[in-house]
Amino acid sequence: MGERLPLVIYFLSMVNWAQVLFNSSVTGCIYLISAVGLTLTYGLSKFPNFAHAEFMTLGAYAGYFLADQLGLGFPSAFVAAFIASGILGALSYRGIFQPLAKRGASLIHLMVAAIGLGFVIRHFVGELWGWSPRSFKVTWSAFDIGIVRVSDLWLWLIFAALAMAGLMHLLLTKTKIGKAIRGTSSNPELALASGVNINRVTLVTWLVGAALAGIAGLFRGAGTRLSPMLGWDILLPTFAVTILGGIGSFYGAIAAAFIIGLAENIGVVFLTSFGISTEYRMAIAFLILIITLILRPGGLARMFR
Amino acid sequence: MLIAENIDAGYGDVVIVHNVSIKVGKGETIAIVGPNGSGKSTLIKSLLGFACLFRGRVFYQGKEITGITPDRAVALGISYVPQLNNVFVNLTVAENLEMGAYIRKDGTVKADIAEIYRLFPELEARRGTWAGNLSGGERQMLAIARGMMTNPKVILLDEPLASLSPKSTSLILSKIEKIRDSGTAIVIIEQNVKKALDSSQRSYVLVDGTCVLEGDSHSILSDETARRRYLGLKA
Repeated sequence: MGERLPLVIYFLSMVNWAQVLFNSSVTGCIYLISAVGLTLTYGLSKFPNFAHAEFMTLGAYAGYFLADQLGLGFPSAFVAAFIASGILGALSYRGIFQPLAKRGASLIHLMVAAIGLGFVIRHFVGELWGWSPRSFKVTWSAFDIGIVRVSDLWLWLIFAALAMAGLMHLLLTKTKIGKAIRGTSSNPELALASGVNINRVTLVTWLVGAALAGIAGLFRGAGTRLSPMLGWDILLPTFAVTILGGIGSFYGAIAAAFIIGLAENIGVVFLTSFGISTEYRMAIAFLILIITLILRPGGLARMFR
Repeated sequence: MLIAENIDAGYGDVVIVHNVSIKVGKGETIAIVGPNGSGKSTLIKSLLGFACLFRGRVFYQGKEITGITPDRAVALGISYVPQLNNVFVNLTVAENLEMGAYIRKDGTVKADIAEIYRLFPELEARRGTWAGNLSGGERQMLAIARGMMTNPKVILLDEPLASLSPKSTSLILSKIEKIRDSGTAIVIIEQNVKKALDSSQRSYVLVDGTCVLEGDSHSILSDETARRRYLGLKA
């Protein structure tokens, strides 16, 4: 260790930190889009929906189907991902989780049902599109902005994340249903006493949240590869964002997504400089998840509401 | 206005309230008092579908509403302000009031919010504050104000004076009086027996889930036996 230290310092001094920062925001943007739905449905339905991973996976494949297999071009993939995953989310709530909750299912029942549902969707995708990875035909051009190497896909991703954050902010603060989503999440009994139709509010949240997960999955698939495990692979960091941000808190999730994106990318730099495999990057999100649960189980939500 | 007859109520399989009947008329304030665990809250909650109603019938404006759900009750004009968790802590004061008006489709919501701010100027000053950051008294005011935003004909207040400072207590009581003067029927559940009886016309005393005494609040307050046996007040 001791003799390695000068090497490490040399390595770190050579790192393009602007690039690390940019990569962090790219990672953060994907996590944000995937976590919004998870945190809002978690806040309303009070259980962690593990099938959220497969909402992402299905979105990616639905986009692939329209864009590449039907040849309608990449923009059509967004529509396909949004609609397919949105419908899947709404059906999952209406067909599985709402009836279960009505019959008095506990947290454990709902969680196991979600894991089961995720399993079914994953294998369904595997049967339809095969288990070997696929790639989008479209190629992304990479270019330099100053000292930072970017690709147009990543710029689109950042644009999409900003647009989504802006629209969600307007939805949650300016519309009646948005205020009801926030209110019901923090105090369902009072929402009921205010005449809120909780089932409808929850259904809309599942629909929107799953649709956004589909978009996150699409970006992930376009940036890397498509595989039935696509969503499952980023479910852990998505959960880390949800917990760190505070369950049910959209604004907490924004901050948390970028904190975890940053931690992961800086972590990778350090892992590399110490000669440790970057396979451990997932452990970073997991570590943050555990530290949050120990030190601040409510997450950042109190700072952001 | 609101009549409940021979109510048995509780949670799950547990019966907490036994054969209690209450009624409140238009523009009237009634108090339901009794020690902790006497079933006051359960009684009220069961009328609106927040707790199980095992037996008995509920009438509102002459129509039977037994077994109604909470959201339907609000739509009919019955408002309920819980004792705990009675504001949306992650919404601002103004948003809490808007949530109160959630079911209303009439165009007078804005005017009503202005009216609420006239009644509770303390809240107007803090309209943009998260409800979670309010003081105890402000929070209670907001809870009642949210309940009023449903435009109720009868409002049920569950321990509105609990854990308030003496100053906030008299402030809240004066607000409740003003609400009564506006013609809304009020049901107050309270452990603060003296204050509750002072500010109501009729009262019901609950002990162990049964009604042991009912009648004119002033006569109950001046009845020495009642004071000693049920109200824990000095004779």
